[in-house]
Amino acid sequence: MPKKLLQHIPFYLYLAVVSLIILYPIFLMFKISASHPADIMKPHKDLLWGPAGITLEHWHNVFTSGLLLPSLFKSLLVATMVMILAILIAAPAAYVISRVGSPFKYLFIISLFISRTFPEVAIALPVSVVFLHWNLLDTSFGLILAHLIKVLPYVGWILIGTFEAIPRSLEEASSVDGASKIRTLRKVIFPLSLPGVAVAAMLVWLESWNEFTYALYLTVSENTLPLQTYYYVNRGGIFNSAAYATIITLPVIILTFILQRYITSGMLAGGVK
Amino acid sequence: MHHTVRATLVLLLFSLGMTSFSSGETLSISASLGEDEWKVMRGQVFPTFEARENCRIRAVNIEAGDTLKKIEVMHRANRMSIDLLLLDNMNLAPYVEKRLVLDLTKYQALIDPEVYESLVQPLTFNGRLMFFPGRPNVQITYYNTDVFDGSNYTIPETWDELIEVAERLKAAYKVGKVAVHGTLDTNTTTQVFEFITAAGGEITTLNDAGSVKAFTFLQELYTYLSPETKKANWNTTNKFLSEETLFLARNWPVGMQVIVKQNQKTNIKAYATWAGPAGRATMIGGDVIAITKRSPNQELALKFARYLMSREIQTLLVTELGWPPIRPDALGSVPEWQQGFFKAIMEALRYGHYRPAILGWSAVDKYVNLAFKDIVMDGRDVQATLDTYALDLQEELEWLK
Amino acid sequence: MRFVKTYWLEMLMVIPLFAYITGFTLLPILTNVKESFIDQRFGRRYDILVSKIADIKYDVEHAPDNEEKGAYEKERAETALALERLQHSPYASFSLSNYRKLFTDRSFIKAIFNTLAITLMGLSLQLVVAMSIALLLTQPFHGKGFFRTIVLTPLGIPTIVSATIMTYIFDTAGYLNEVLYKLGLLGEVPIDWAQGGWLSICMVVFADTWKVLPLMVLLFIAGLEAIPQSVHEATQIDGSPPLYKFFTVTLPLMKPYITIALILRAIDAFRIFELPLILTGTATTPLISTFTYSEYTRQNYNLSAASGTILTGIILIFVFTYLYVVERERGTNA
Repeated sequence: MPKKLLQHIPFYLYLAVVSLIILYPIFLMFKISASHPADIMKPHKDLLWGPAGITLEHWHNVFTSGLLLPSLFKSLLVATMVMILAILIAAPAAYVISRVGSPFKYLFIISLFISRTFPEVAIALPVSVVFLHWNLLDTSFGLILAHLIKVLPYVGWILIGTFEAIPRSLEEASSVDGASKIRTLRKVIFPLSLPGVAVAAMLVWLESWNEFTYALYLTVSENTLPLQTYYYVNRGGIFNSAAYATIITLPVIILTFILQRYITSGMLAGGVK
Repeated sequence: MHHTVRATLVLLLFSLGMTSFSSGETLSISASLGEDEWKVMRGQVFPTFEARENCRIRAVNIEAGDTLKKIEVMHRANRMSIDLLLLDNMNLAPYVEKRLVLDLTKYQALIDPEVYESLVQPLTFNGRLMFFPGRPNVQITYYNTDVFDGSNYTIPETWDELIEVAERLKAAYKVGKVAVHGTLDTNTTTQVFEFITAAGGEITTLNDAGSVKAFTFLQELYTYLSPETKKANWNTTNKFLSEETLFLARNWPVGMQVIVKQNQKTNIKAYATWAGPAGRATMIGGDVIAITKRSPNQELALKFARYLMSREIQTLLVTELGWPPIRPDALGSVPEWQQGFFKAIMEALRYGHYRPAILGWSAVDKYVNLAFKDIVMDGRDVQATLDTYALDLQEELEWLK
Repeated sequence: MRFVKTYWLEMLMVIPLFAYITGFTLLPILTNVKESFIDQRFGRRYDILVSKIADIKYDVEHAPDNEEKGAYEKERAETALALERLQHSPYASFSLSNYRKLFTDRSFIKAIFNTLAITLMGLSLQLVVAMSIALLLTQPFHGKGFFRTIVLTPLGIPTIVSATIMTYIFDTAGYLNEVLYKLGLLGEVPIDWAQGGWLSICMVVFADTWKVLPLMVLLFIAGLEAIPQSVHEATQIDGSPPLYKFFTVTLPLMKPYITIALILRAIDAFRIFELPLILTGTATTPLISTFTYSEYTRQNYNLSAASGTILTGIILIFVFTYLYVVERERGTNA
């Protein structure tokens, strides 16, 4: 009995330490957004809570500033549209790639990732010039397209793994039964891939919700939530930015809680084999 | 299935449609302002103009560092969506060089005679007036009144006093409590400019007697400065002063909004500046008014420029935001909590110098920062390093002529 | 042609993705690479003159009166002359001067070193920690789902937010120094984490690991769960100590997943940008990506392009070397 208990202690201790390190910064964010300035603006900070207690004045400022709702709406719109479009574009391609022979598949996958090796800053300007020619600067649609650039390789990767997990024997059986290619896709492949697609969709949504660099280049008048946060961060508005940061993070925490249950093996493995 | 497809299409069209929403005559303005400043603009400055001219003002915030890029991109694609800019005067030459702004020479009459002549003069490039004066701005020296209470420490008025205070503070607190902007970008260049000018030097020469004196001084001072110097810029300095990591530092007046109003510190005040071997010197920054070349609403933009320079609006900006005015007849009563700061600002303006309006300011910026890193931070030989960089600077400036 | 006929559906499905990626990423990258071979001084001047001419042309066409038109025509002639002179100057052609300039810049060499150090240190740390957490999460225990959520949370925090929070932790008057002070490990003088050198590298590595851990953990969990029960049962019967089992059985089976994780992470780690920018500034701890950015803000587009190209080169070398090593091993083991 005691030996078994002893074995468990380091296990739980490690868990506790890791959890603490992960959670403390997030706690800090909440804390700052609800603290009195006097408690934060001093050389020796309080680790847990300051003497002056909680204040809701910063949240009040944020909600009455009139800037919150437009950015919230824009972020929501863009993230959702990016999610839908990314799946529509990447899923079919991922399916094809997962069924293709070895040399091509490798090539496809590598090319997906070459696109991620260049610093974003350098790509963002030429892209914004092109978008401008198409009259897309400062539009939500332009931002959606820009986010797709960032997100498509990532989604393609995850979906390749998802489709790989669906055995070819099922397709073969279906065509033996006399179904056309399209019908097979709809009735067999599509339902089986749904969990993987759902996970990929949520990851895409999160990535777009948090995106910043392209938003910086392609937005003139209406900020997304991260841009609005950046505005405050840039000007030392620490309480406002902490409040905005909390608003950005809350849906994320909720979504990841839902998401974590559905992540199964093979999903992230991509073209591992 | 079909419902989802339809819904998607509708959403797509909707977001496309959002791009082309517009109505009537709209004047588009961009500026780089804090939230409080925007409140005053939108709440008091814009409505009167909108009513008078029967138009709508669409104002956007573009940070000073991003403005050139965005305007340039819009200009090249021939889709200029901003009519009037309240531009940081940090680097105006590229706007002229890239032909982004309207030549205002024939609209010179829009500037009232009351406006300070000295503010208008530097806005002339190649003999042509390219900008209107917006508001002058200057850095002031913030200090912690608990520390600088006059008994133990007094605020330094000369370079010698400055270095003495920095040394004593470091000895007492084991870590430096004074800082300059050491982020090795335009923030640093601004403050180095002030030191060089206060020693009688010229920043574009870089290795004249005054510059050597300034860099030698900075090299010694650095040993007593706070380690936060390398992170201190116009934004973080406010944080450091509020947290009392720093007791003395120069920064823009925006500090008073953040330190006193937002962070509710009652023990931070400001004075103009200290004197170098050649006297006191500060750099005049601030905003100017520019009208974009391809603006679709030029007439309206010009009217608005005149409106901004008028006595009524200048007085409003003084009383509501504590902005120094561009004309002497606009002095009003500043809000009480700002009065000390305002006094410091006006005094600092008296010692103000303009940056040379050359086309290659980014080259100056680069070499000043290289010199700062090598000499001040790494302790290399002053004259030798300055000589090398001065030569490189001249060569680059030649290329850009 | 028969290929197209049979596979028209597949091609249709694949084309949007690749068209998008080619157009919006590969093309800008290639443009940038091309730009990097144009001498910076020439490139800037050329840019200015060319856009000036295009601009004057527009003004000429829209001039309200002949007087202005004349003035613009004169300007155009002058500028065209300057452009011609420029094109005959010695710097006009393909030039390696940008690269030469970069490799003789002390700050850039330091940037390369810092980037490599941060990436390699980061990768090792992340590998070890992610693997250990993944191992934990594949054991059954109370509150597993809860812990899993905790581990996943940093995934959703935008980079600027996490960078700002890390600033508050690593500031000289920040929370980490406060913890150390309270634990008695620190005296009067707080640690200056941003001073450059190994301390700053550690700071950036820690902050980055915090943000990036969830993804790696997920990947490793997927790998661990893919190991069939039969393997577990076989090793159980064996009776050898768990650590030995781990290194000889589990780890080799996880190899493909580790490879993927390393490559994915390496690509992003080499490019790390917002975090070090906000945490350390460019002053003391330059990195290749922040170097690219600061040259970019100074309008030295060609120098910036060269710097970006070097970064891409480093990443590609790393990825292909790693793949080559791994593939070779896999070849001999198969």
